[in-house]
Amino acid sequence: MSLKRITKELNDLGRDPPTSCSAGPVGDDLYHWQASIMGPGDSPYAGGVFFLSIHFPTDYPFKPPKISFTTKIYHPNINANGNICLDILKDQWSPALTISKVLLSICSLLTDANPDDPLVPEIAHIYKTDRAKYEATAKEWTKKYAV
Amino acid sequence: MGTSPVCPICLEEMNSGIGQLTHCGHEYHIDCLRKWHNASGSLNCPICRVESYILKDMDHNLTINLKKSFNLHLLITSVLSDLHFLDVSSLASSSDPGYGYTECDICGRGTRNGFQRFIRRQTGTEVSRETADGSRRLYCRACWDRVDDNGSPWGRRNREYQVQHSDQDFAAVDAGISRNGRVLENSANSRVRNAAVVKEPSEIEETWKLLDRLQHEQSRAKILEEKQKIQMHVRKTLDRYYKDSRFDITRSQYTDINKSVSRQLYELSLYAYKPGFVDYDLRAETLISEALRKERIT
Repeated sequence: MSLKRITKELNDLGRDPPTSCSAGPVGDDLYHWQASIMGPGDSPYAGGVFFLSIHFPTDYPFKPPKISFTTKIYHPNINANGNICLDILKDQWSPALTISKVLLSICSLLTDANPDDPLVPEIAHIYKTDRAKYEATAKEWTKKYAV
Repeated sequence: MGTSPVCPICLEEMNSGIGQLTHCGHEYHIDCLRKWHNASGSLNCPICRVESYILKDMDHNLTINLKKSFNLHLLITSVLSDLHFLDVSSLASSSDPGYGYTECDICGRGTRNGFQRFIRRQTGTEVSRETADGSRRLYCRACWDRVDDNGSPWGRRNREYQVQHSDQDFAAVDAGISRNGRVLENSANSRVRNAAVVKEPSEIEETWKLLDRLQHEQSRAKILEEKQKIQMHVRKTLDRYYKDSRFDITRSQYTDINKSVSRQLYELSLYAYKPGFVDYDLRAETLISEALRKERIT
């Protein structure tokens, strides 16, 4: 079932691509995709293009895909390895979600970080106490790694 | 895009096998939804995430309470797919006393064979209890849920049960005869008026009807699939002869030989497809050349 559903999603992405992201298989292996997200305009990531790697489990969509950033990003919910702390990629996963919907959720995570459930406590602390400093660093990293 | 709605789980069109969660109205392929229930260990709807356990099987117009038969559908599928590992006849004649009983002590509803009993046990739709005098009693879960804590269906709460039952059932109780005509075992007893003939909830009946149908359909599909696999071997070999002008086989001869050789091979491998056990290509070759020789003689 997983391969059929992944193929279906790929076709749907081609037919009706989301505005700020794209995704597709890296090579012949349909279980390994690459995706890109454009930094949202109303965030310090604006102007950057962030790449992500997507690995589908064999029992997809009953288990969530494994998604991580391959581009370095300064964000309270994304760590140095690119791991993302997002509930829908863990216990809140639903088989009714698609890669397109997940990428949109990641986009909104870039706009609205969740410092109360941080993956990187240091960044979350700065985010909460010195928002200007957080934004400056995030902008700097975006310029350095994602442009 | 077709006109049929799309299953939110597999993203394929839903033409059959559709189930609706009556709580929220969301529809899925029943198979997809049950796989999700099993994978997530919950009965939450994938779209609204609300627990929703009354599932309407749209094809058969059955309402299934998933809490009562949690994972029943999946279990049936998995048991059926593993059926060749199970010796069903041994279940029926097993020394386990539970498998020896044939009917529920309360409603008299029978279990038709060991296989169904096996599933009922696994799903907890059947309960067996040791009674005070040491004999083992067997009740269907529906009846058991309505009986006394002390294990006796004829206990102090019977008055309440009677209130829940229809006049028809009361009449049966008064006469000491259950719905299926069986004389209740304690009809000679003065307590007969307290004994309730418990009506089984229709949803359990319906679930079992569905199971019967599934079991039948699945075994039929499996037999057909195995026969077709064997036929592929026969065709492969027979096609070679058919194309060879020296043999001059007519269309009807082709069909006859194909049919008879396939049947022989099916019998040879004990009514199953066992490619590791029988070399179908080799056997097909032998049987076909034999059949052709016969054709030429007659």
